[in-house]
Amino acid sequence: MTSVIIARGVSDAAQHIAETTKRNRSFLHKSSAVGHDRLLHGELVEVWEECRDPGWDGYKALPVSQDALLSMKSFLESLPLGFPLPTIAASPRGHLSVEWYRSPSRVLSVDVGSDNLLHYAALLGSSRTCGTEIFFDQIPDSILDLAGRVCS
Amino acid sequence: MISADEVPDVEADEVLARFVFSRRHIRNNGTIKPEAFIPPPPDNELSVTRHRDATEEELWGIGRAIATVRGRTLHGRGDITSRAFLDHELSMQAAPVTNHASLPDNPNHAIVIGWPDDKPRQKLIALDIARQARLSRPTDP
Repeated sequence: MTSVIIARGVSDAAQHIAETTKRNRSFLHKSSAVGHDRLLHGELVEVWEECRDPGWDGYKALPVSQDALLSMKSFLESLPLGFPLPTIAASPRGHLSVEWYRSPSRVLSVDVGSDNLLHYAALLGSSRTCGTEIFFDQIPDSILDLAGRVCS
Repeated sequence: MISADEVPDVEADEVLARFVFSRRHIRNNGTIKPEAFIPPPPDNELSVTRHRDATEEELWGIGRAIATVRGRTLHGRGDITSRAFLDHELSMQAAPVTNHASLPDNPNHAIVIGWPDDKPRQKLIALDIARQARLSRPTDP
């Protein structure tokens, strides 16, 4: 089932708090201890540069657009500070994807599309699950919970 | 290699190779990511090469030839039995490549078809296929 909770107000005060939180989060992400700065400015851009032309996978892959890059940047910036870092890849469908991996049968893969949709699938031992969630600057708890279960 | 004049149907116990040309599709521990097995739109056909009647040298020769014409680097190949695809209600179709304008001849070429349109379901299947695939690294030519 797809669900979304938008926990943001529309008043000036609420917008100020949201912007300040985003700025502070961005600052903290530069910390090597808890942040994702290396991932955001290293691996992410490298993957995009490798996959922005059609057929980048040697077959018929769609190019990864700049919008897809920005969506993934927003997704990574929304990860809780100190959360286990995923690896990044590209999908032949023209999406960027993240993966939390512990073993071949304990893995979560999430496509982050430029359409604000997160398509995910996970193997958790003998159980498996997949679905779609909406992403609006906040990663759904269901995705974070699955990533946590993979990494625990 | 299979004779291009007499191409048999793909059987359930055949080994199929998926060439990997993106280093991002191989994890540091030498396992393969599911993205290597996601079929590209709009056809939703996954291209594979059958091991049947082919030597290792011939298989790698095909991978290297594709890499050359596509301007890519061959990073490896994922070997998987056709049974793994059948278990997900996918099917295989022999699709030999001969006299193609931009691809090397490959009488062992086949496609995996019947993928669901639903993206999360595709992804889950690709995860399970990747879990069972075994990576081989290219040998020197």
